Amino acid sequence: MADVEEPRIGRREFLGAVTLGLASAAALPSLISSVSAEEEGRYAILYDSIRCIGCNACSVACKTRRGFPHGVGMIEYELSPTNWLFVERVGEEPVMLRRSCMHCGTAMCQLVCPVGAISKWNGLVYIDPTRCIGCKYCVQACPYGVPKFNDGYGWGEHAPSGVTRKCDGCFEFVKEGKLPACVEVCPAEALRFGPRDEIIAEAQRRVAEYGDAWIYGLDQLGGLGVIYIFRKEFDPVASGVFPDVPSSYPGRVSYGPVAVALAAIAGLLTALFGFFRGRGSK
Amino acid sequence: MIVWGWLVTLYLFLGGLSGGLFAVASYLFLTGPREYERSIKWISYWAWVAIAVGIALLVIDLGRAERAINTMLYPHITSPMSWGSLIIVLFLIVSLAFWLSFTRVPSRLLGKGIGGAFERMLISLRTPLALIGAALAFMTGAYTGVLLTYGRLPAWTTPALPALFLASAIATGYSAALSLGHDELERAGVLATSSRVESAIGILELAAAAAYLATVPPTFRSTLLDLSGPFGLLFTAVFLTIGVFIGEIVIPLIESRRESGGLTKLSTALVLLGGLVLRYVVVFAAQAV
Repeated sequence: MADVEEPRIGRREFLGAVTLGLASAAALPSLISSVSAEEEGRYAILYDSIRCIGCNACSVACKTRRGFPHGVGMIEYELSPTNWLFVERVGEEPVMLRRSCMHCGTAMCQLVCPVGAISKWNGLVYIDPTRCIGCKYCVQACPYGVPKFNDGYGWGEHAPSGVTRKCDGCFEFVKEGKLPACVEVCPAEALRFGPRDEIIAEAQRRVAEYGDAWIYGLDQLGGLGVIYIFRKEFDPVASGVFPDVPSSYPGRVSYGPVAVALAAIAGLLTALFGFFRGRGSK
Repeated sequence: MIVWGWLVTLYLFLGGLSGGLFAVASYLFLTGPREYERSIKWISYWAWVAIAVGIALLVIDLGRAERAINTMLYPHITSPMSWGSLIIVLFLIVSLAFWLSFTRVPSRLLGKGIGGAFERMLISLRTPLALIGAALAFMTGAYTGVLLTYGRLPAWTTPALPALFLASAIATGYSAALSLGHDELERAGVLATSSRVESAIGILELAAAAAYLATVPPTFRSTLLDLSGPFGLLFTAVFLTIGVFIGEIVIPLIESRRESGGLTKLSTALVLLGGLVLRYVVVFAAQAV
């Protein structure tokens, strides 16, 4: 057995390094909060709850395009790896409500993905199923509860087993000049697709026309990629169907792992300083 | 809906335990006399074993375990899990190397030539390994809490959670280290002091638990404090009372007065039970409530 070296640093230096590291972690601002939501050429979907008739043709069209199981009487009222969109009726005086990915400006799912499997194309947030490792962090992070982990059998290239799936805004079809499947089939002009500023202008025009409506999605999480029009008496947050989300990331937590890492490095440097100072004085 | 279950719970516990163990081993090596060598060896052994098992559990929990390497191939700066993956892998390597520097495993496996040279290199690197490993140990302990705070569940989105997990990491690691190095540490005359330190850690953990309770939503706080429910029973009776108050404060104080370590292993068992129950409650109750 080899000899043990003499102690290198004192207890004060060791404890000082640890204390400094932890104090720095509390003091350093989050670098992640500087992530910008705005980007050029953002697309968005307009969902007009007032015009929507709740036929769920959008849901069927989505499944048809992806090759997921569908048919008469098979509308699923829960998001799943093979059900990326549906419309449900909520409240006593039913309000139509589209449930799908919000394509957030600052998408929590994208930010927390440990392998960068979630990306954006012109504001449309999509998951690369060939890179996803199935850690389910996006499932835990999305405030709207959209991404769903496929723990069952795979269903074609769009919903393989062991990965997380959700609406991708049909970005690959949009690249080819097509519309998202849901928008393409809507029989009531409840859905529109286009550049986000044009979609917001259209929403404002409709709200002015209705007189008793308002817009949801302008500011939440850096501005959503789905702009909702609701009757004035319906508040999806107050009624508990949408969460109360902040306007920017991270919102509720005022630090980041980067801060912890920097703090630990600061602590390490202090310890090394103590070590070399101790050596120099010997 | 339970998205993260027992595998993640056990990983959070083992990650904290491992971080705490290595921090103690590093502290003993950097500041203690030569008599601690055997303790350092055993404590650092269990540190790397615990994080290795924890990492294995995490990989098993993945939907695509064969793609676990993607965390190293495609690091993502904004993801706590990406940072955490890097941290725990580095921590595993450093803690394993530190333990190897106290053994003859390299020369047994690789022969006296190459193995011996490797041993000498590791011995010369002990101090930087101890320092870097200590930093990584604290990062691992805090990271297990940071990971959860980026979830959407209100019971996780409080900065007090990493503080609580870090306090628990230090408590479980310190208590387990005392048991692992018991005879040697007792001969070295540090047990009485250690008992007082352990009590102080227990009080810090109680403070972190109070901060956590103060910053979670009232409904979740009620769940954690309601002794008629399973989560309340586990959090208040098992974690706070048995694990922290009795295991970390009362028993060490008794040992300190008696100047003996007869109850050290009992204390460690209670502290480890409390640490595991804490992770279980935080992970499961938050998803269930």
